[in-house]
Amino acid sequence: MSAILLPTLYGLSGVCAYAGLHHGLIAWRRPVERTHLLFSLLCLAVVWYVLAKAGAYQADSAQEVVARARWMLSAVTVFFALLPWFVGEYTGVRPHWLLAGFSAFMIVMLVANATLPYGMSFIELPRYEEVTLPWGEQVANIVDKRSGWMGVGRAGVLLIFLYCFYACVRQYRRGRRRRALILTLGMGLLLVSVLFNWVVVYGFIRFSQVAEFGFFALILVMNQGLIHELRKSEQDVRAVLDNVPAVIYLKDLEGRYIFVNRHFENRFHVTNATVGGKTDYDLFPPAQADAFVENDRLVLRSRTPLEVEERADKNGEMRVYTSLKFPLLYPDGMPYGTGGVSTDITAQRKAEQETRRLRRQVWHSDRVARTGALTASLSHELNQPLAAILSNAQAGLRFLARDNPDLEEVRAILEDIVRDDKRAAAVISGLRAMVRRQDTDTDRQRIDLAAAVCDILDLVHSELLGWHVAVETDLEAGCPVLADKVQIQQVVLNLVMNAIEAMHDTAVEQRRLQLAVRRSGKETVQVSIRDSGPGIPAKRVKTVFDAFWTNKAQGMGLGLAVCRSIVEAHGGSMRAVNNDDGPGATFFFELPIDTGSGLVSGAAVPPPLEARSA
Amino acid sequence: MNAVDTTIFVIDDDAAVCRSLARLLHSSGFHVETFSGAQEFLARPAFSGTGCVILDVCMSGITGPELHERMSEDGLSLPVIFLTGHGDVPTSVKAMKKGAVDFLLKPVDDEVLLEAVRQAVKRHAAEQARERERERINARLARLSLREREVMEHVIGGQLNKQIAADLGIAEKTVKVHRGRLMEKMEVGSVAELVHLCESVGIEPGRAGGGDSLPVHPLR
Repeated sequence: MSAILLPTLYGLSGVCAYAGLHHGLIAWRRPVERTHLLFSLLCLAVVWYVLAKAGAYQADSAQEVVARARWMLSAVTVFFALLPWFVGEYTGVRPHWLLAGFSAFMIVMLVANATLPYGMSFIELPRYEEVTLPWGEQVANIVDKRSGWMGVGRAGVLLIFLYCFYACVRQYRRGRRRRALILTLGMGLLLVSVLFNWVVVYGFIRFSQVAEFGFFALILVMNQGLIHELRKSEQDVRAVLDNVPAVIYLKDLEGRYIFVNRHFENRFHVTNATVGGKTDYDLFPPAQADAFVENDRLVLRSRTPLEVEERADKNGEMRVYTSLKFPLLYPDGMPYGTGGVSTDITAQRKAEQETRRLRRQVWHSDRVARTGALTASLSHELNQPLAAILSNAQAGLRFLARDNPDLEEVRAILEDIVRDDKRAAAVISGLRAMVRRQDTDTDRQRIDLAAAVCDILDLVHSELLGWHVAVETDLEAGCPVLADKVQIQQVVLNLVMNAIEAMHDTAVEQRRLQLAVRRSGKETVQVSIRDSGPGIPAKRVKTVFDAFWTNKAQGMGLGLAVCRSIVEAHGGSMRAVNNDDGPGATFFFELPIDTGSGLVSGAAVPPPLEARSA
Repeated sequence: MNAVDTTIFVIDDDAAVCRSLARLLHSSGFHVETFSGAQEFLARPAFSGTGCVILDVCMSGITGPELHERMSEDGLSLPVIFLTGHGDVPTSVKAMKKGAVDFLLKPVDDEVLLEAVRQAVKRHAAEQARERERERINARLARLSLREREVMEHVIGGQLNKQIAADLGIAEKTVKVHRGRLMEKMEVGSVAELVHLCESVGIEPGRAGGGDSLPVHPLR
């Protein structure tokens, strides 16, 4: 007795089991695609079927044959219950009611098989007999006795085949010919073996049932097809990754590289073959590596993607990247590594900086031009009386130094001095009046101070970035004031710009701007702008708002004077102090809160907030 | 040099400034005339004394620099000190190039202004003295006859009587007579003095004829 059938069955079932596990693993990693999961289940059903069948071949009695055939048929029904779902998933032809119908039918078969006294295959206890296969191997005869249940089941299986071939044709017509042909080949082989089985069963040929080879064939063909597709899709992904103009990399939990794309290879002079097991510290200077590792750690801790800016050397040149870092997660949410896509934005960054620089320049020159024109006319207006006063006073001194001073002359001089001084004062108050005139020209509106301040922060955003100034805000909403928004914003802008400029010589990491809008009393709201610069020289604290005092080379000292005029014109007050608890100065201005009885009717009055003590 | 006969002209369209400057200058002993604009100054009868002009740069109508230009076109030799409210480098450079003696910023300190005025007046006085000297010499020159003038040009060229006679084709004795007379008319006692006078009014030595004249005059 030469044993061929059984070892072959065991061997092939081993192959099937391997394929089942393999695809199960793939399905576990890519839970979105159910094709592999279903295929894996099909494989296991086949393994179950073949093992049961091998057992049946080796049965020693009719009872054993019946019991093992029952197992065998259970596997087959499960297989055919799953098959339509697999085909539907694989081809995309998924009439759900039909698939559900097939499954329901097969479940009925399964139940029948489990409950009928001799299983689905036999109406009565069969006679135990053995068949001799052509090569001399003797096995138990398990050919069923044409039970009615089997006929019904076979009809169902035929319908399933019809559906499968229909799905193949549909897929072929949709243009996915390769897939369609592979499935057609697999299903064809299965159909041939099943038909051969029926030929044996209905007694046309005296042979053993060998439908299992059809199942094997289907599994092997589909396995090849699926694996091929998987490789192809991996190639597709790889091609995309390699051709994306960004650096892409995957690392494990310990920060060792698993994969890098071609861009990464070229840029940092490594290859996928050599990068394995290396960490950031092997590729980058320690400071940069520290930053990368820290970002990876953040990603792992939060398990959410993170967008950060990173810097890395390339041939000694520092490049700036915007990196999207993300965790690599198992389906159950446990991380197994990190990935990242880093785009080199050095050029954009340079362009941005250039734009910012230009904008600042334009802004500055505009300011200089505006104040410059004012300076020219003001200095002339003020110089005339000042010149007259000086000359008069000095002439007076000379007259007085004479032996017989002409007091009449000195009186005339003093009168002139008084007049000229008043004239100079008139120039200054004219300037203030100019500011006030602007007030009355423009309509004052009810504005939310916090919102107005926010707008200014947006406006100077690039300035703040450019100077690396950290900003902290504490803006209490719902503080309405009746004001000219543009003017109030001018004041805030002026104070913020002053603060930024004041921190010019402050170490970058210490540049801090704190902006607060708070109720300072029942009817007043206070805006404070605090910097961390050198502060106001002690003897200047009191005179900082006076016109024509400045410690800026480019300034003419009108900014704060105008600011105060604006604030006072709004019925507010302004002051400046050096900070007690740190470097720098804080500028405050206070405005009366609009209680709603003002000019604007219909504006919603925000609910009163608890008054804070200043 | 605070002579009372010197006059300072203050031109500024700002009356207060004008008056205060006038007072200051007056307190230092200068005679001052004030003008509220360029037109008014130009309308004034010609001034022949010593003095200077203090001129505001920014004036309505004719500006300071424009007036300065007009003055030099009209041959007015008065030195000009500019006063301005704001230091504008190009304007000041232009003004200084055109011969302004100073460019001062308002408000100006008395010492600075007075010193500038003194310097300007001194300069003007020296210029005027030179001018008067030139006129005197020219008057003397006018008294010389043609022949005497000719002989004089040879004399200041360092030629000997004999050479002059040969050059002019006259007797040596005649040359001596001309020479004596011209020295008398020019009111000089020596050839050196004569050379000095001629130089100050720009008379060149006559062309020496023949090859035996002294080639180089020590004063040339």
